[in-house]
Amino acid sequence: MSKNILEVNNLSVSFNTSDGQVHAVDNLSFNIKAGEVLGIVGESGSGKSVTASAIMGLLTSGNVNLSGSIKLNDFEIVGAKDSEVRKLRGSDIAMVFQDPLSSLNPYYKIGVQIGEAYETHHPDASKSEVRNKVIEVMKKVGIPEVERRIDSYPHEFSGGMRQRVVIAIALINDPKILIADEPTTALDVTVQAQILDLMRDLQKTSNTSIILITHDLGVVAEMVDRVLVMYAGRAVEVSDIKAIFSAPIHPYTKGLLNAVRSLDSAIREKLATIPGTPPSLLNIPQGCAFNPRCSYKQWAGDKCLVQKPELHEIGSGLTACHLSKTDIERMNKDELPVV
Amino acid sequence: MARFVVRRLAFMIFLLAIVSIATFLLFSVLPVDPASLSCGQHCTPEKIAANRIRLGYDQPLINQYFTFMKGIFAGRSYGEGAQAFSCPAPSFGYSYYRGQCVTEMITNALPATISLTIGSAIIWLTMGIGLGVISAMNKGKIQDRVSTGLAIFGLSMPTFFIGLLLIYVFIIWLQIFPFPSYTHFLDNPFKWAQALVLPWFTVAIVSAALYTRLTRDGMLETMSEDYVRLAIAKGLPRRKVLVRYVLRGAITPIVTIAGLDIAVLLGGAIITESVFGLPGMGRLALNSVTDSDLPVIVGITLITAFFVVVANALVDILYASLDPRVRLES
Repeated sequence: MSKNILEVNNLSVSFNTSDGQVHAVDNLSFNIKAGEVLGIVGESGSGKSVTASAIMGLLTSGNVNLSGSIKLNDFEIVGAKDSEVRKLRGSDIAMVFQDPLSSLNPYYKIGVQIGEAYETHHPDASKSEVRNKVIEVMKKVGIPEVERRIDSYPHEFSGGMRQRVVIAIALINDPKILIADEPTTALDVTVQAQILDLMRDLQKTSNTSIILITHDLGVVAEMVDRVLVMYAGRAVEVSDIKAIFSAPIHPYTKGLLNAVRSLDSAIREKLATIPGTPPSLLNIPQGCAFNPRCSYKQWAGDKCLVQKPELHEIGSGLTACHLSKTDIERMNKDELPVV
Repeated sequence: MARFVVRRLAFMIFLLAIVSIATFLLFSVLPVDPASLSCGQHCTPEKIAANRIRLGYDQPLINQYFTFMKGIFAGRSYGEGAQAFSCPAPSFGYSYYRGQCVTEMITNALPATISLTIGSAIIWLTMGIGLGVISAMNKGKIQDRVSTGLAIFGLSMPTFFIGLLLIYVFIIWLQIFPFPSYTHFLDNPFKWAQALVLPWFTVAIVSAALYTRLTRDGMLETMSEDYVRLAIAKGLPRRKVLVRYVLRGAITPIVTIAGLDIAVLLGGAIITESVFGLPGMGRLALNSVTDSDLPVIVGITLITAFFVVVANALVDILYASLDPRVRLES
């Protein structure tokens, strides 16, 4: 087994707002090995992007409360000086954002924006060195006619090409970890597949670890090794990709999987949904945060209403659910509790 | 780019023609008879009639307009024989009230106004953008409140009040400056600056407020842009993110407003010039209105319109060089 490259332990993030404290991430722990692809899945507001920002060391404003530990190769990011974390950003940890149309600065040429990422971390590099590096990485991410495109502006590129540019910016310094926050959500379906292929190829050739944040289980199925499912700021399930699709061990994961339409489902069949809406992070339910929406809570009794479930092993995965192993097996046989 | 500039300039000329016609029509319907105004003390109906012919007011309006326009490009002569005189091109007419060519009067007034405009623009842009940057970087903190407070104070004070306040504090009370008397820059640069410092600040204090707000709000808006997040994620230092990304994104509307503000100011800062006794365009306009000196008012209106239209065109061209996305649309 290779070494953990990133270790997140008991990470909690809350924001002070005029409406009260928003608990975005609650006691989250996970790790990632070199070359591994970890998917973080959850609905909007489940704390995925806040976790990414915390790893990038971007949560520095005054209204943020941050506790726990984020270790990148034994370097502690939580509480480190911004000038220290800045050296990691864009070099050891790089990030790809959701919307490539707005991720690039409209005022500067593509080549300049890619080169900037290299120059910042290699202040002694000569102009021609930077340019060669930019051309190399542009070719690597599959941008055609690089010699001409390097002097184009972002608005002259399509959405898919712009996302390739953003990926080029992320890869120019050979990062150890690439955080991709919904990298394909804003793209056409055909382009989505191209971008995922590209990321998978790059990951295989460079041994970069990837954290793929998404709400799309289809994307997860395509390229992830392990999945972390988040709900209301907490990890509710951590499982290998195969296990999660064949036998999920948390009712929320089960609900997410039911909501994915498969090719062999009947055309007029109604798409399954999870009843209710995610809770407000200002006012998270007592006990298990998922209990108001859970169809299986009767099996576990009152425990779900009063006691926060902690992550524990069931089979090969981790779950934060009060259901017993047998209950979960019943759930996966599509049994429902009698109400 | 070249095509864009040419098209923009052509449109500018078209616009100026429209403005000149509108101005000319507007002043021709005013119930003031320039011929009788220029008649002097011992006026007789015959003298007025003669004047009317000499000034060309007997002609149909359309002829008057073309004579006027021709004067701008080729100069214009008045009267015949020994009494004949001429105003060389570009001629905006002749003020009988003052006995001077309008162009000459405007040329005499322009240096003071240009000096006032350029000086105050430099001060208000520095002050306004500077305070805006400080505000945006310290949103919600004491620096932000002080800057915003100063801006609102400047915005809510009338120009004449600021002017009089500065005169009282610096000339009468502290006696740092003598009472300003405008000197030409080439004659004595020191006295020129001495006379202009207070007027500069008067205009700047009133104008800077808007720029503080524009800069602050523009920067705060840009800060939440994805490309700024990506710039930070690249590991760029804070200063670089602030200047190359945040300020760069906020500067375009500032350039637009600044261009127009400067143009309008070139047409004369009536209040500031009056408070400080500067012999500029604003005072010339004010005096001409009180004297019903129509040719001068027409001239000043056209020149001001010219400045505004040119500034507009320049701003558009500047826009295109500031924002690569604009170029495609031409």
